[in-house]
Amino acid sequence: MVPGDASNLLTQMRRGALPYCVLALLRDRERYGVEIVGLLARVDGMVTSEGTIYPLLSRLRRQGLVETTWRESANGPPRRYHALTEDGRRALAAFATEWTRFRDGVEHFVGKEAET
Amino acid sequence: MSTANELIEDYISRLEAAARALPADRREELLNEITEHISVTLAEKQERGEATIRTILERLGDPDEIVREASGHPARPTVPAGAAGRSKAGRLTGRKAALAVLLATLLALTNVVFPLVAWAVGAVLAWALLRWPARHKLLAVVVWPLGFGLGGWFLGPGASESATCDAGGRCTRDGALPIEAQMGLGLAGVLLATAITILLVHRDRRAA
Repeated sequence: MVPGDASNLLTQMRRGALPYCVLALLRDRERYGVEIVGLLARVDGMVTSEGTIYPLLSRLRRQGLVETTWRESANGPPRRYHALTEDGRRALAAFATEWTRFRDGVEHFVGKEAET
Repeated sequence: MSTANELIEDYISRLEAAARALPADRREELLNEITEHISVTLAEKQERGEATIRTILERLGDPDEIVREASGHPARPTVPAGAAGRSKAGRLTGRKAALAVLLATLLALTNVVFPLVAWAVGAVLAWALLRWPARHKLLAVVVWPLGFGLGGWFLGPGASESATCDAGGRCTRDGALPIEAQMGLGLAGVLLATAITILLVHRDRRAA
């Protein structure tokens, strides 16, 4: 392995997992863009440039995993709310199961708690 | 106030310029969404100071990066480890790597004429052009001249010059090695160098 491989791999893993984090944020309720961006940015290491979340949301919309509705706001301009579609819910559930298996597997070997 | 608006306008026009590569509908969608993001965030903060706007725009990030994400080529997730953080044009594509290999090979072959100069130039070029791990570069720089250069010499001028033929057609060899051994060594050198080169290029491709 070449030094630096790990950080590149982690960047790719983060990028790959990010759409599912967005879907997960919509699991229980619909949310508007700024809200989604804010919740993601609050967690360290998830998003470096907030603007890239919008193309990601567009992609999820085109893939039919998310649908949007405009709602008026008492506070400023109307907002585009995002909600999970049935497909989105299925995609999230499938990922969640596999992710848990994968995470536990890696943790078993790499985690500090691992027994020798 | 006017500086604050200028900051936003400037950011949006940079985004517009970067987004020219996108299809019209995607470009419009992206610009709308980023503009909405700015106005909604400002409405929620209920504050339009210059510092607030700077923070919002900074957090949105580089317009180029946003457009890359929108174009489906997000910030080069496949850039190999060593090249990440270097200049964007830093990594050679497979085609360019092949070109560098060819160049270095040709230079190594001219070893016969200007041995040390050609080797030095070939080594420097290979080192500068190839984005390989240092040990791969070292291998290439040593293997090319030794394998291709010496191998080529044994097969070419070295082989013919090492034998002198008299008027009667009887040839005697000047070299210490019989001609067959020289040809064999030459062939082995060239084959080995070729094999190692293919291996190195293959590893480079896979790393990408």
